Amino acid sequence: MPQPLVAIRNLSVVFPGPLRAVDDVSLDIAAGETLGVVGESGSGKSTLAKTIVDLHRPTSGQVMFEGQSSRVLDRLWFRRQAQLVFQDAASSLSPRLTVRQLLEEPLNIHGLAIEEHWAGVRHLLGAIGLPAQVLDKYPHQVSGGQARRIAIARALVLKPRLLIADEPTAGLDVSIQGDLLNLLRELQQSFGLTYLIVSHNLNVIRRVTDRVAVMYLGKLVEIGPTKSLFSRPAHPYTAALIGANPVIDPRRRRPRIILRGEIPSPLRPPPGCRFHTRCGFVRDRCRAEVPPMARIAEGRETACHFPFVAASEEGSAAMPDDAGI
Amino acid sequence: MAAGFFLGMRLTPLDQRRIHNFRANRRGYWSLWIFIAIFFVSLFAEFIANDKPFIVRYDGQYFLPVFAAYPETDFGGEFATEADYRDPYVADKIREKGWMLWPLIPFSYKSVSHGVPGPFPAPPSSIHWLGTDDQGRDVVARLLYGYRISVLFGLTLTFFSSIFGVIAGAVQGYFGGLVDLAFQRFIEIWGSMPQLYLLIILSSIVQPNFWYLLVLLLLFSWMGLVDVVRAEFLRARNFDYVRAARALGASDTSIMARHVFPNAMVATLTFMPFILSGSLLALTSLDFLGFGLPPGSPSLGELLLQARANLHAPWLAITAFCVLAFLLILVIFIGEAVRDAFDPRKTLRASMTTP
Repeated sequence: MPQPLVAIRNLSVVFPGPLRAVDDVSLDIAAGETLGVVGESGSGKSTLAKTIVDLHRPTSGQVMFEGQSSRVLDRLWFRRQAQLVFQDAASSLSPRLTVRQLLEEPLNIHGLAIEEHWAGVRHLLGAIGLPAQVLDKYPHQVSGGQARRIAIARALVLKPRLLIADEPTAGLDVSIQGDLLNLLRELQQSFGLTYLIVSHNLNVIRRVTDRVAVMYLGKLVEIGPTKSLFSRPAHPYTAALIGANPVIDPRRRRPRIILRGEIPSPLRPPPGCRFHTRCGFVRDRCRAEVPPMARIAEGRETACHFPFVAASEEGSAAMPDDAGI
Repeated sequence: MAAGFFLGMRLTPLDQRRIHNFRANRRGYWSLWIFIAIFFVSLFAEFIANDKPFIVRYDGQYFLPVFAAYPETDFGGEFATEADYRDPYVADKIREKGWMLWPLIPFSYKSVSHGVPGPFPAPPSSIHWLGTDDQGRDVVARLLYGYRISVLFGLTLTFFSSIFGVIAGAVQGYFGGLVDLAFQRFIEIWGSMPQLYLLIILSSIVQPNFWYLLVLLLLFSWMGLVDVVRAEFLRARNFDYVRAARALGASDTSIMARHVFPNAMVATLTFMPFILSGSLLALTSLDFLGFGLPPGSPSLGELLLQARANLHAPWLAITAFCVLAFLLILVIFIGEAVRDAFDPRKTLRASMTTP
């Protein structure tokens, strides 16, 4: 296997509390791929995204970029490799700077001559579909969709290789969501980007990602190629998540697993498998033993003692094999 | 309000509305102009109240005594010391071969009046409009110079207090945690010291001058702004745009200056006039107690001290009181107008009535 662009190894982020926002997560992001991260609110998706760009300090474990730890890499060099587009794009733009100043700022920070690189920025604006008039406006004077485009443009000014988008479509009209996803795809092709897309919108994830990672209470519970993960989820939580996603076509409806109760407090996570308090297939072993990530098929891993997709017979019949959702 | 420019800077609509609000407070608006006008005039005090003439024409030559010291011998006198133009002997010598042009008030803050009969302090007369103090110095001249030094001192102190206050507040709020905790405890201890006694003790060790006093008062005055600035930074440090700037690789100082400080700017500007009035009052109190500017310096506090010592000369007390009250009221009115200008509720109301 070629060296991944980003390798996350046993990453934990613990906030005072102690709140284990991200707990022992390991995953790889290959160059050029689009990896989605899904999970409920509070599952640690955003914290993971922010930790990758070094906005949160890992409590243990590390994020490696091309095999080197981000903590030993040259700070500015690392910033040029990985950029984050915030969930609330409008509030990630300084309210007292014009769009022009916002786009010049990355160049200033990295000591790049504006005259030299401005043409590239203009080209980027064209590719992103931002009119030049927007340059002299302030962030509060532009629409939500434009604000998101500006945030993406600013992230791309430094020509990063990894772009992390935290909920790229949250708060946008469905039509604008579609435009934005197409835009992300086009940008990926023309700039050779690698994406990490964090979202709880499964339709978005399904449409744009190559692989998906599912998180629950700070733990990675399943990871695999989008298509096979959506059609044959291995972890009961993944199955519940996918089943909860509304499907318009009644012929394609699938039996749903209704989760009872709320996600437990991350301050006092349950022992054993984190999901056992809400899992419909819980057994004694789940309550006592933390399931490790285990390979279940080509490119697929899950952290479940009794996965649906497995070589063994146990539980594998619980989910019907359905191609669509 | 069509003007989109102010002092050459392009204004945002918000700033235009703020200027509009500031002007809408007529009291504060006029106070600002009066304050500026008097301060501007007092900057040229040497040309308005001086014991030397502007221009001396003597023997076909021009002399500018305000700028240069000429010995008496230049005008046909006997001594090689600087000419005393109010001395009738020198004045007569000059009038023989030329003329001289006097400022409006022919006394400087330190010149002792010659022509007034009776003991000092002399009551107001056509020569001394507000009388003289107990050393025969013209009160109007001393007021003019005293106003200048007070306002200059106040502005300088406000400037430095703001800088130190903003930096201290910014560091505390931005870094938070232990830095904030330690700094806050330090400020609590520092702020609970009896400031006036300390200032009196410190200024009695050394004969203070302008800069020494400035540093002395700065020891305590910087704390005025810390709390508001700290609160703004504490609030802003978790804003997404601050995180975004960090993700772009911006350094802490540049994030603080470029992204967070503009938020604290409003609080700072609103506080400044009140710091100024506090500074003016602090200097006046020290002068009044005799621990302020060196003896002989013109100052409002020193005039108050004279007024207390000479209760039989009520013009001193009345003048000092009126001028001090007038100055402080001007500054407070300006402060109120600035506060109005930055009041978000008023800004909103103005934006609704003027679309």
